[in-house]
Amino acid sequence: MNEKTQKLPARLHNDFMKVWGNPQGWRALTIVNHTTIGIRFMVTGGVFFLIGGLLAMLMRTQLALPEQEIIGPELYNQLFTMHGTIMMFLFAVPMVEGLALYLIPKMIGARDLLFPRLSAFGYWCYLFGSIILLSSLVLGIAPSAGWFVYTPLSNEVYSPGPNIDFWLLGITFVEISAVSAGVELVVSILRSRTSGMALLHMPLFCWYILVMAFMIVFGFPPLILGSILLELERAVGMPFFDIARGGDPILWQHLFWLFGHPEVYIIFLPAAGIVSTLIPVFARRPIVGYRWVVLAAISTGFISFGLWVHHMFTIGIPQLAQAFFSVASMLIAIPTGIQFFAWIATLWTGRPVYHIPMLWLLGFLVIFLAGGLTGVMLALVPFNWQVHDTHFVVAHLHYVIIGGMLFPLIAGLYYWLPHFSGRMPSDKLARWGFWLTFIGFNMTFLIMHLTGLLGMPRRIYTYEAGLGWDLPNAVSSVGGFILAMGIAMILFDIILHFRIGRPAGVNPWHADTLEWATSTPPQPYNFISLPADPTRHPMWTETSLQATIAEGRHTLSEIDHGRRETWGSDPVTGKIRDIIHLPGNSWLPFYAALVLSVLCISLLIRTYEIALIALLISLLLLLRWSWINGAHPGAAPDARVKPGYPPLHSRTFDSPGLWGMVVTLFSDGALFLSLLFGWLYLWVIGPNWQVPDAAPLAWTTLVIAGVLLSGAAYWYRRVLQRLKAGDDHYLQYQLWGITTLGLAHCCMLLWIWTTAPLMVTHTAHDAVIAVFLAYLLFHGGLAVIVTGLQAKRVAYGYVGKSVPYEVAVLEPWWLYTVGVFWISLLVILLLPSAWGGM
Amino acid sequence: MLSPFHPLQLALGLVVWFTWFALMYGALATACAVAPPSADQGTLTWINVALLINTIVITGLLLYWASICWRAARAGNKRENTSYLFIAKLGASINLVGAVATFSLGGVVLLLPPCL
Repeated sequence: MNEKTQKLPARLHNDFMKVWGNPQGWRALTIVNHTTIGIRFMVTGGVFFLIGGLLAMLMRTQLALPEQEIIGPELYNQLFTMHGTIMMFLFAVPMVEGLALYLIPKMIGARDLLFPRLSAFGYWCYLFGSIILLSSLVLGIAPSAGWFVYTPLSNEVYSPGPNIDFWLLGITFVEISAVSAGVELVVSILRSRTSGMALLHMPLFCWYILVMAFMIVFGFPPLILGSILLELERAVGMPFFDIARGGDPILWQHLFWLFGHPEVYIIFLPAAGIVSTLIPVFARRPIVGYRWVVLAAISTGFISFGLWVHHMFTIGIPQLAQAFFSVASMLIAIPTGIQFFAWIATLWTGRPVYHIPMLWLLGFLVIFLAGGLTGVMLALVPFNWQVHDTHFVVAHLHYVIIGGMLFPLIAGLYYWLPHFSGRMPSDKLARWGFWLTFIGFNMTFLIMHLTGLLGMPRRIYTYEAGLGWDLPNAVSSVGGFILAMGIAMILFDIILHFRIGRPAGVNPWHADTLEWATSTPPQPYNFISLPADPTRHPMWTETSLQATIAEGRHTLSEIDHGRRETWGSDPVTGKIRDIIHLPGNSWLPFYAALVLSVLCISLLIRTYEIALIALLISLLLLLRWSWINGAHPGAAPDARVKPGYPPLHSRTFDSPGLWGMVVTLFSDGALFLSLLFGWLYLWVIGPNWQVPDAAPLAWTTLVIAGVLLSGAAYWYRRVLQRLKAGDDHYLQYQLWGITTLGLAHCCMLLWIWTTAPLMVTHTAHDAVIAVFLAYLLFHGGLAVIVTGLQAKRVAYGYVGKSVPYEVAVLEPWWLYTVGVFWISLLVILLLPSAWGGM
Repeated sequence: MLSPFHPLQLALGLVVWFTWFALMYGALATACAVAPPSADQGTLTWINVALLINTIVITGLLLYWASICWRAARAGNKRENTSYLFIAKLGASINLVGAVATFSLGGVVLLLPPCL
């Protein structure tokens, strides 16, 4: 038993609150705690869901009867574009991320996520980006080219106003939030599970979130790149998607769907995680086939990256290539089927009780099965051609998204509602809410399959009477309003339960996972003491866990040092490796996101001077953020720990920061690969690809620049190796030396760029090369800045032999920068020569 | 080969599958742009043959890795940490899924001409 157990739980709680407590008033904007951030994500996502739903109701009103003129074509275009955009980008992904941010630390027995300030930064980016995007709707200049903004419709010629710019800049801003949450979740799940929670003991929800987070890390960069390229085309005239100047609009489709199809599974997998968490609880037995379900989740995640072209079957790609994607699209039904059978088998062999969440799960099973089956139909190329761009596709999409995501999400919300509030919802209102939603949904979308088969195209603002579409549209519209009533009923129930819901008590559903071992609602620190968890069902094997945790009977219950701490563990076995000390509340994430939103707005209104100033200020803020770290007085200057405990993570070489850097570079690498794909695609497929007679870049100077960069990276690696051996002699001077070498590389690269005869607005060829150069310069420049900062930190004593982890964190960045430099050189200079272009 | 107990086994088989898939798609597009065979040849073209050989090699490799992981999991039942056994068993399944996915997709080259 821990010595701190001598303290009373109330005293322990007070001591913990001094360190972990959340401030009130304006200072609430500084909160970085995952519980608060997760709830903020979910509430904000919920508000956007209502706005997106309102737009849908407007559209259904317009389509209820033929030849109506309630809404004109331009506004209708804005409505369907914003409905799709809001639901996919501002509701679905942030909502599941918010739930994951809220639940993951609690499920894995941790006190917080490992980069809490990144979570807060992600939230503010999401909020500000969303507000910027939605402001376009209020101003009547919302994007109107559909939620996948295909070129050439979305280029400057066919969409001349700022409408599309709102989409491109706003969404890119929101995606910063998604990727940062992805990185955060991957590292937290792998590195901060409580003692003994091996991978094979991890709750299934965590497996799903791990897969989802990796998918975000790899799946979002293609769209980020696509958005940057399209914005560059619109703002500067760089012709990436303009056939006349060597680009290709189909490239946009590839980049969009490389993101877009995994996106569907990014939304579905967390929902499947909810299902896999809830069904065993209500079936009152462990899930059947735990390992099969994990296998299915991982397989789904991977295979979903191989389906993107099935959205493009009608654009004229070779039949064999279509067949590849058709087979892949059918293949993904297999892991989904495995999960279905595992859920059914669990219910079959269990003793199910049908509380409210189960109602939603059964609704999910029915609706998602139907959506999955129409998905297999759409994977068949001839059928896909037949119904392409009709309401059949709209119906399928909604069966998959609403059935596959919204129903499990609402099941999850009802399930964890007592966790959020400590109170139970009303059974009667909840049942009304379910049945209205279920009936309304099926009424709206089941018949929409028929509307599509009758030939009604999607995205038309009205239609002639007598085409056979009148009745199905009227039914769909009535169904839509019933669906809206169901959602209103749920909302009413949730709001009401905070006031009059009966107290939930401890673990009201008799659940098995650790989040129910916190108090309800939870405290900011989650657990006073961190329990060991060598089983999959800790709350079933040890029913008194909540009490013993609150009494401080488990580990890491010391708080006198004033640090926010949680265990750092081995990714596979869950054995404790180190103590991770976490940063506290700060204004920096809020300010950084605020300044970035100024950058976003100034790009939108094309005031580039202000954009540059905002960029510099945000860089300074982010550098200040990184400054308060390691042995800085604001972080962990005193590294003493209780005898027998492992060291603080900042005193090791294998910190979460290193893991965060590597996962970030995965994302960065996905963006770079997308750029490479774009370059090669235009070379091979671009219908009017134009290559200059002479190479625009001199290879000798590029090679010299590369040698300088490689030298700097090699030196850095040597410095780290010596530091690992305990030698920090001349560390500061060596870091300054590396900085100087890197600076020379950057200057040379800048000189090459500015003196090269690149005609970036004339040919896509030169435009892509300019993007390559900018990418390399960004990486080289950042390596220089942060290494210089490290040298400065050595001088202050914040980095050194006893606090070495930051030096290790930067090493992958240097190696990556060198790698992408030489690969770029290869594809820019050598590959074209081999192809016979220059 | 990577140790059957290495955590990367949880992704390796499907990373190989995806890489193979992306390269095959890219290679098909390039081959059709550079040296498209006559449509009269049907499926008996150098492109189909090359893609089929590639498919068989990768499928074989993934099946081999799956068997190594599975045998290691069975042999290590008594001496290995259960966490690592879990990885080896799951790794075997992932490699197997990769092999099935590779062969299912690659097998299509037997049915269709490449550049139509």
